[in-house]
Amino acid sequence: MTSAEVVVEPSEELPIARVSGEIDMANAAEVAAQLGAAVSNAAHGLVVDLGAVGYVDSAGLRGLLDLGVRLRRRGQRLVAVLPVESPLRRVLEVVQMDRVADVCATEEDARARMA
Amino acid sequence: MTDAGDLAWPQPAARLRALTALTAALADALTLVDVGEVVVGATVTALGAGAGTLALLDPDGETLLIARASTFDAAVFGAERIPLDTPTPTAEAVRSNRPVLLPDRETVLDRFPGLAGRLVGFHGSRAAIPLEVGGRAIGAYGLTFSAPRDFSADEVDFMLALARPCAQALERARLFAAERTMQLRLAFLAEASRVLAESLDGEELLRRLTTLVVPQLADWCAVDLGEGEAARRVAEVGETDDPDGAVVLALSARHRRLGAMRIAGARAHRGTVEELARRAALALDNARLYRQEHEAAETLQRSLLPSHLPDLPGVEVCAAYQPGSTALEVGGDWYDVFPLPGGRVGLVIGDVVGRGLRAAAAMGQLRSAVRAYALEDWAPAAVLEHLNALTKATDQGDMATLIYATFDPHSAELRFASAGHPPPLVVAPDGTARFLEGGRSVPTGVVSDTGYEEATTTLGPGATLVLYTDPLIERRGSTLDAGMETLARAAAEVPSLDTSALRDHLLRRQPPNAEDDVAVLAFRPLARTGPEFAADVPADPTELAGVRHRLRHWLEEAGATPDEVHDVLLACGEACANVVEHAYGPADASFVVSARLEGDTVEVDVRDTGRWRAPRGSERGHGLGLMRALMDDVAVTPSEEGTEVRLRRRLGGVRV
Repeated sequence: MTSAEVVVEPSEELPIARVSGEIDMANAAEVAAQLGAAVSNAAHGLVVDLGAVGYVDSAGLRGLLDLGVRLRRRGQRLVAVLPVESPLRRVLEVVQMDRVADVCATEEDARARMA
Repeated sequence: MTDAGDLAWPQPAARLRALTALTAALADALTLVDVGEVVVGATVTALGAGAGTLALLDPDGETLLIARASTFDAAVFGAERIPLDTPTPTAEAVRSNRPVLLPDRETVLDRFPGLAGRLVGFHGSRAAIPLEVGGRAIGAYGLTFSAPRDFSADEVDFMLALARPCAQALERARLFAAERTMQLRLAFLAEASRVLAESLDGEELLRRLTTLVVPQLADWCAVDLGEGEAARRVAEVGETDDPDGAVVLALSARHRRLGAMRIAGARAHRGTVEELARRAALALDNARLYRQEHEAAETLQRSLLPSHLPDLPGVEVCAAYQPGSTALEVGGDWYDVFPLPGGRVGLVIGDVVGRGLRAAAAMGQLRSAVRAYALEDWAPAAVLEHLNALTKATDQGDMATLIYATFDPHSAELRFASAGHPPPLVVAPDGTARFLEGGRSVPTGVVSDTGYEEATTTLGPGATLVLYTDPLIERRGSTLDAGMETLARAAAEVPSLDTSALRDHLLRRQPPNAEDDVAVLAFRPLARTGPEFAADVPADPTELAGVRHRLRHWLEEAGATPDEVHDVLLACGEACANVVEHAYGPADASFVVSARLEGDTVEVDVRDTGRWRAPRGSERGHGLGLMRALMDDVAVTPSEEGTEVRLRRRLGGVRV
């Protein structure tokens, strides 16, 4: 069974959700729900750190893309954090994640982007 | 008292005629045999004797040779060869240099009692007259008369008068023969020396020696090398009934006994044979010394080369150094293979310009230096730059050409830099051969602070990299281009051979010039193979993680890099997700995931037995897009039995 863990560092302005494990069609909806719940109305947006994710398939990506669209509609922003050398980077490019989210290399970059 | 067999004792006028006739006959006689015949014949005739003998003193001064004798006389008075101190009338005449006159049987028995047994039927008289030259007897002639006779002073004078021209003629003939013999001997020995000098192979030399001896000097000749128990016959020519009775001559040179030459039925002067043996022994010893030096040089060269190549996973490599067949001096050719960090391999081929110990020593230093820089993990061009700087800084001054290459089995990338060395040859599995012309710069040790070029190429599984030194492409009367073409053709002929067979094929097809040594290195990445991956997977989302886990393990075993593992897993995961989502109804069903390596390409099949429902909306669009983006090739084949998705991704290759 595919497993992923989402740990949220709560913040009024900019919560950070750190995801680890794998995301596929078996748990994509659950991960997406946990991420959506991490964002309050007051927040500028959500930082999702995918640095510890080893695998994310199109179902998982769909969840992220949907989240990005939903946040944008609400005037909030989604920032994905992914190290430059991660093989997931190319995957994000293929699905054009940058249309709905910023992609940063580190959480510091993400915070700076949102400041 | 005149015996019927003897003619009348000649009168003065007849004596003069006889003397004149003898002198005339002697003038025409040149050889000892001719002279001997004249002497015996003429004296017997002139003095009316029954038989005559001619005895000549051997140059050794101790033996008498019976040069000419009538049959009767030889049987009675002498053998072919008798010691000078034998008590016979002729020997006595030579010893005393005075005539020996024996008027009757009694006198003979009185003075030479030892002859008693041989005087059966002899009742006559005998005279032996010395043949004198320069106050010394060089021989004697003997006359046998069938009746007793007193020799008068007048008769003795006549016999001495006949002896004088005979002695002179004999001496002349002897000198002539000696000179002729000496000439022949010198000519023979000169020819022998020439023939012996033509070979530096000891046994071949001895075979030639025997053919010089037989048939010119003897009937049979055999040569043994070594002594005693260890003696070994290396050559034998001719025939003999009595090999044990052969003359044995030691083959000794520089105070070492090398063997022995045996001769039977010798016709030559012993001195000639001894001189021949002496020269042969010297030539043999020279050959031995040459071989020793050559072997020492070769041993040195080999000691500077790797004693064995490392056994590296996933690649096949072999090399050979072939010394020049006749060159005494060592060359500076070398090769090297060593593992580098990250599973990479370092490959070197080089040639120090020049020959001899200096070149070999320089080669040893360069080899160590290349290894040292390479293990610090400098790139090929940087290694050459360091090497050049080192050469110039240490003032070794030795120019060298070399190629340093690194190969990464994961990426199949070959990086190489050439310092004026002939270009590497790459033979593809299908036999297509090409030279790698890039990455060329000047030899090391020529210019200070020069930069070195570097080039890269992909060396796929089964392709062979051939590194070599010039003799493999340099042939007399042929251009370098033609030589390279020939090499490429030779290599392309046998693409399926393993590297050592290819190496041997190249060395054999292109025999290097006799003087030159040559080094060849053949390197080939092996096709990665392994067991096929297969999994029967229930069509349920919760099963996908388990398949991924097992396929990840298989891909890692197959040598895929982490990025490659990720990409293949994701593409396969998308294919599996499609099956789970679209192929089956709610009933239990399963599908098959299989994977295999085809050369350097991993091939994954995902097969189901259901019929895909049409995708709902555009939601699944990213699945196929991801597969296409991550794989080199994606093929979806629907059929009555189900659908097969085949994914292909080359490992270690450059992504296009």
